[in-house]
Amino acid sequence: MNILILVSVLGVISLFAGLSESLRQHTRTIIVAGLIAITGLTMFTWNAKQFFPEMLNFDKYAAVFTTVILVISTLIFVLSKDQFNHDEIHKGDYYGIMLFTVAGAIMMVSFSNLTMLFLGIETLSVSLYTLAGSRKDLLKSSEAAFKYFLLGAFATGFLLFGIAFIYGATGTFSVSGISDYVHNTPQLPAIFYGGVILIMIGLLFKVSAAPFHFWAPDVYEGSPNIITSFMATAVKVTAFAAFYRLFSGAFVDVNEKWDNALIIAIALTLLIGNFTALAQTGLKRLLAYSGIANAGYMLLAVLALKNDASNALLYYSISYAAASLGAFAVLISVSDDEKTFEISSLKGMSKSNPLQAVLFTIIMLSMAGIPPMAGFFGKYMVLSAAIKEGYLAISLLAILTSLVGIYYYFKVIAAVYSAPDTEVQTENKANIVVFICAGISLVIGAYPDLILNLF
Amino acid sequence: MAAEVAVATISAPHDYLPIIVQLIVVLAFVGGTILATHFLGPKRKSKAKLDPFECGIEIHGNARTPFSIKYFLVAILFVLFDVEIIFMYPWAVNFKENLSVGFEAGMNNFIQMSIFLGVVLLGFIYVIKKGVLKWD
Repeated sequence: MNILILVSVLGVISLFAGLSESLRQHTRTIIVAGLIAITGLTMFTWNAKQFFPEMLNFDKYAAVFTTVILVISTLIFVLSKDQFNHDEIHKGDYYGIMLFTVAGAIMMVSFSNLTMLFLGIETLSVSLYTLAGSRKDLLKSSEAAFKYFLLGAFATGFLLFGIAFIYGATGTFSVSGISDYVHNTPQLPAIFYGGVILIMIGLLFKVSAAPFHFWAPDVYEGSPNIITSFMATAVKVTAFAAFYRLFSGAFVDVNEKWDNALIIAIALTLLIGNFTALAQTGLKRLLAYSGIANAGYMLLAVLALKNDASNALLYYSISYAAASLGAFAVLISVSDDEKTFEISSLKGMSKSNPLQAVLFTIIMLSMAGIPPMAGFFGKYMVLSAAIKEGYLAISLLAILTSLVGIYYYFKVIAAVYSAPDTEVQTENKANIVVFICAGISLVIGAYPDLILNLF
Repeated sequence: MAAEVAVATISAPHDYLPIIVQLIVVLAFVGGTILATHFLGPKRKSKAKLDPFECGIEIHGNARTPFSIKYFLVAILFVLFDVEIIFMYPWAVNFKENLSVGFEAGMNNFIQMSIFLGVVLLGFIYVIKKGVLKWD
């Protein structure tokens, strides 16, 4: 609760700082400092006094995911240097809206009432619709915002409809109330299951899982790079945390009723994500499809929630977010928002910027799931959780499709190390965010216990 | 609590019959009125009759010309601050009652409204500083 208020206040401060010409230059610094302070506060005060615990329950799960979201957001603000220079007057507004997105994210990981879940999703989504269209001078940015808004509003309709069904069946919005109801009712009404499936559809849309993934590639492609990196990392982790929190909190006792639907969604996500990524030539689109494929693996953790897979989900989220953010940081350092960046344009990076090339390789290996990196252990934990619950067939499919994934990640690595088309200048420096992300991928890969002991 | 509600809300398919009846009535009414006006009303097709908006003034131009975004901004701000006032009505009505419970309850009530108004006021200052209401 305190964290939520502080983040919102930071957003308001950023709005007002953007008003004055002299403060505008320092907005980003203020926000980064503020976010670091808030992150510290989250880690040390997670079991402080709670206000309205029946609405927002800031338990350990919420605190851990809030920390992850805040760290990712801090890195994105570090990365966003010079990203909004095209629109100096509205700089503070963009930063403010990004912080409001984070506020929505915090609501989504700490809700204990369906109304707060809905409010969080809306705060997050409405801010993102605006941010997706923040390059008003670029047609594709407006297109991305429009597509995202129309489809997102539609998906929200499904979610709301589902919540209404659940309320109709149980008479309560509270997650623990729903759980009690499920526990004490021998014969659940059909309307309840209808509600579960509708909520699942709404959430599958937000995590960009097939068959509700169609918005993701276009929106990722059209949005400004910095916003895409935000969507692919912080927002995705949040959506999964909310998905897991709701289903493990309220619907865990009836999981044999909804797991088949989820298995089909996972199978489609894995197949469509990985095989469509094979055909991509643009780096951003490739990362979008890789995000869809990764959603499939993270959904395995949701599938296996009967035996507390939150550790696996947390670990996978961190490893995926680190790798994805690192990849986007590289993308931001080599391209701008205006034109599509082809994978072949990466050629010669090993000559022009050897350090960044090595870090990018580490990040891509982590995404592909090659052993010493975090990505491997993430996949390993998610799969072992699913297999322990007896979901053998889908786990096998996940392993096979991850082999397909290795091909397109190596395509990127191969481009980095192939000879450049033109002579390039040598400069050996990498963005600090690329450094941190590659570092996280290596360190938590070598010492998974760092994360696993958190719960 | 939840369990008691649960017993009361288990419902068989035939419990939804009223909804179907309602649906049929609604569709029949909509369809019926459209058909009825079609048959009952006189049909006069003069130019003035076919105008989308008829009030004696000549129509000129197209309705779909772009006009200044300021109109939209003012409209949305009006809605925003209008809703703020709407929130204040029930609060004001209940304030006296709350105050009669005790000073603390009244004070709580006051602080809550102050926080709400403070947030809206911040928004208002932002709007003015941003120059949204400057009209030139």
